[in-house]
Amino acid sequence: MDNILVWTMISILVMVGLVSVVGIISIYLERKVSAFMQDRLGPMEVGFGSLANAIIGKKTFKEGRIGLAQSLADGLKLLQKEDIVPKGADVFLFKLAPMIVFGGTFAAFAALPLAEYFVPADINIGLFYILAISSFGVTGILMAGWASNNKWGLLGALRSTAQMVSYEIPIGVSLISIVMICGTLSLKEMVLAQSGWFWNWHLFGAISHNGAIGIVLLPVMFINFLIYFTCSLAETNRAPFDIPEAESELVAGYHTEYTGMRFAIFFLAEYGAIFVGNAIAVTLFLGGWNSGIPMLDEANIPGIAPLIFITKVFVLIFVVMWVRWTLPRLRVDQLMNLCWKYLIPFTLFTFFYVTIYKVFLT
Amino acid sequence: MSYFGNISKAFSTIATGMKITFRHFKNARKPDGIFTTQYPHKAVPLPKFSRQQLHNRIEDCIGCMKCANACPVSCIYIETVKAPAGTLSDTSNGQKRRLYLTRYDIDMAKCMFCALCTYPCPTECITINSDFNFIKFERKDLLYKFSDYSPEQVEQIKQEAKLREQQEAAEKIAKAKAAAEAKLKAETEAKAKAEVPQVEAKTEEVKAEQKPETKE
Repeated sequence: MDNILVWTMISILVMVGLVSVVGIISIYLERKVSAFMQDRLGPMEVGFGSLANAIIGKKTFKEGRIGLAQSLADGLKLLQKEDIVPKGADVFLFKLAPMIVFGGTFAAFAALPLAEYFVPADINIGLFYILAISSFGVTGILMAGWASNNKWGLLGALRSTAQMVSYEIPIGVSLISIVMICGTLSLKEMVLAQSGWFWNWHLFGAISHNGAIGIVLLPVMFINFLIYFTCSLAETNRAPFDIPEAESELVAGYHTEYTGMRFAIFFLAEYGAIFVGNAIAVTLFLGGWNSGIPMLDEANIPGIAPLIFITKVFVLIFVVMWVRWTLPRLRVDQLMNLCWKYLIPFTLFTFFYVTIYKVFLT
Repeated sequence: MSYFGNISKAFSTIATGMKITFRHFKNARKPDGIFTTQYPHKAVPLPKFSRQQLHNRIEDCIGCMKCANACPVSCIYIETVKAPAGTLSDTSNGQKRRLYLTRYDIDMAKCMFCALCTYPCPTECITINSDFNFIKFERKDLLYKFSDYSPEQVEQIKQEAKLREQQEAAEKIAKAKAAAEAKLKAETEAKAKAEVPQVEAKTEEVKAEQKPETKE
């Protein structure tokens, strides 16, 4: 009992740190990945040594060469910036909006199963909770766009809301297939069901649940995964679905009027949301904290389970960035077209396929 | 296009694009995979004859004003004070320096980088180099002062020159007096003798020697 309490305390603290650390690491990765894909170098000057030198005002430490502390330095810079509230803004909502956006993302972190004894809030409706709480951020985005009293902000917020609401449907339906197979909404139990060899992962069907016959679900699970991944891009406003932020059309979308730390909070929340979205993909489809090789899991190396989980998530985040720096932005009508005409029919198809499998083959 | 044709086309085009970006990502480790030059640490050398910043080797400058006269925008300001012979060292190509350069300023804000000032320079002391990094925060900082005398020294030089001038003027008066006396003497001698035109010519020569030299 005591042991579990201690672990819970530690995992809560880790989650608090994780949100900001994940944001900082993802921003650095984003800049580096985008740079390499465009034959640039990305941040190179601000290493931890140079940052420390700048703070103490002396050249004591060795200067960095690959810019590891760039995001940290940016954060420090944003902290010092003036906090501007536009004249015509609704001050209360304007100040509340970043908190709601960040709160939604941060609350979703609580239910992520990093390891078997490393779930800050091990609730039996974990998946439902995450889906609900991460959609909560839409309210904050709409609030930010409305309260800014700015046409770009409002347009971005409207687009964002339309997009997020329509993409909730394929996400929900594609995840229901997994819920049907597992018979639970608890993320921890879903991951436990995928332990053992990597073919037990839900991406490859339902082998761990029903033995070899589960392989018939392989194609639909692949489709489900692709659809979930695509929709999570749209949910988190990432390219090619970044029309709410659309730099070339809407300045910056709903956070056009935000400065300093409030802007930084939006930024952190965005990367936090990407992490949550991909963490769900890893949990549901890619075996969560399981390495896919039973011998490695049974070796009981301390701390390896969360490491495996985070590594998998960051591999997916890399794919998200890769997609972002490859594909051009969709138009609003193309976006809706993709969602309603292509993604929803396919999710419905996989949903029925899994239902028939569940009823007749098990 | 058919419904499934759309889907397959979407997949194939996305795959093509993703392959291209991944190739660039992979090549980023190779030395020629990245096109960035990290400027302050590494710079692409400029062409050999690129004209960027004017420089004057002040120890070689004789203050001849040729550069200032050649400048189409008049951005070179020179002030000189005559120096007594032998006080200044020779230039590196053996020319005599006879002038203190109390002021040699180049206004790079006015300069149009034609380098016409460098051609007439007899000692080749004014040059235009490839150093392009001379950004300044104040416009007045673009006025480059090449003179190696401090304002106090300039003041001193000017006063000394003034003293010397007065001295010279006094000497000149004395000389003129002497000359006048000589002339008088000659005249009296001439009177004494018959009128000889040769002596007249000699005094003319003396006068020409004593003519005051132009300043600056």
